[in-house]
Amino acid sequence: MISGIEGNNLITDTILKIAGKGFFKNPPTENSIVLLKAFEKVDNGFKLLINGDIFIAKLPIQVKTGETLLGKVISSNPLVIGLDNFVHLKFIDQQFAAGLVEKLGLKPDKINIDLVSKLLSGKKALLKSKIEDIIEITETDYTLTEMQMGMLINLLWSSEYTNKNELYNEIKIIKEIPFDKLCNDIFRSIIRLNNLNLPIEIYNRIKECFFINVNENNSPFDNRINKIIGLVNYLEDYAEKFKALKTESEEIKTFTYKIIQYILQKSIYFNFNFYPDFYVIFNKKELDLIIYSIEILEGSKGANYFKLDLRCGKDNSFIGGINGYYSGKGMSGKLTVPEMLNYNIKEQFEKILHTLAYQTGLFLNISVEQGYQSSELMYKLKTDILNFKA
Amino acid sequence: MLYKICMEENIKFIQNAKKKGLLKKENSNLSNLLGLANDRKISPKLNGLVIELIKAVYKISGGTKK
Repeated sequence: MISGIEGNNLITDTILKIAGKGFFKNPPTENSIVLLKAFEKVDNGFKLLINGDIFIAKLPIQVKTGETLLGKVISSNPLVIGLDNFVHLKFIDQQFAAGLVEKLGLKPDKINIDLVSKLLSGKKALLKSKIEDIIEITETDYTLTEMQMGMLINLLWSSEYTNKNELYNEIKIIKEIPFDKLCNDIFRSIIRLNNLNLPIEIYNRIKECFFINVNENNSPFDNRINKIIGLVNYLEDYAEKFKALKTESEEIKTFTYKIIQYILQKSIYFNFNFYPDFYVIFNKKELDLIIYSIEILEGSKGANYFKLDLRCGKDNSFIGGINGYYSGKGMSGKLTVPEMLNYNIKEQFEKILHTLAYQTGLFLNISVEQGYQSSELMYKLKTDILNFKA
Repeated sequence: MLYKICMEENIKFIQNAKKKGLLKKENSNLSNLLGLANDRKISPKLNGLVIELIKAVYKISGGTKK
């Protein structure tokens, strides 16, 4: 028994808890912030150095031997240390964050303070090695967006990635081009492809993957991703085997490149309950672009929180958004539209909703109201939502 | 059978992505194509509803041609 600690190590999934009658030479006081050093792995966890005393504890997170981390003393007898609940404040105090940075032995500059503040708001354990990894990764590139930074934090803290450069290479695909711009590029490429004389099979496949006719009932897009993946492979084969004309070949190359980016970006966002996508709207022989994003957050009582944001055209203007709850039985919430509300819009939507409820057998209770939304797409903003995952 | 076809298509897709320099390695934890295709949170029913809601909002907004 080390330092007179006895009893079981009681662990919850988010809090490191050490119980016992221990005698501490330097007992940490309640609510104080302590520096912990995981210096040796033992069968039942780690030997931790806290204020000069040694404790054995299981850690609820994976750490490497030698890791330094901060904890907050929740109670001193029995000793209970929280690793991820330093503050309950809505706004993180910068001075408090600066104090934590210094305690970890890091330079209290703006980047480190901002980073620690972000970790606090995301309820992440303050692991020195991970903070150093992020600083190293971002040092060469300060242009990461909020979302990219949020994603990087989540991944470094929660995934099995041990090689930070490998991880950074993977998220590069997100950084290369914003999703909305990518969708616009694909849309323009579709228009250019439409002006070429390609086999009808190619046009049919593109239509099947991306087109919605607003005036017709669309067959459900089953296995859409698989179809899009199939389309990329088909076009690659076509361009190679049939030695297409230069213009055709170049446009196909551009299109497939963008579609691969689109699939890879979607597959990354998918890890964070975020589902950006687009469709080409076919409306009376004219084509239009609609970009949308769905957020789904697990809710209680079988219903998930659902948010749909719709943008349209080359300038991605906001045309409507739905906030509500969805279960297998239906959806309730409100539709926000930017246009001045009038009776016609309300009546038109209610009629559509009524038909839709009848066709799908779903309970649909969606009210309409006028409102505004930030011009910036949601996926650039929602780092707090991303934190739900980890 | 469908799973096998999907796997073959996915492998080919990953090869194409690598060829274009968009993917560095095959076994990516992040770019999980099978996960993307089989996400339980976006069920076919919800997906169908989203498409209809998109159409409805597009109709009442007038799209880009207001």
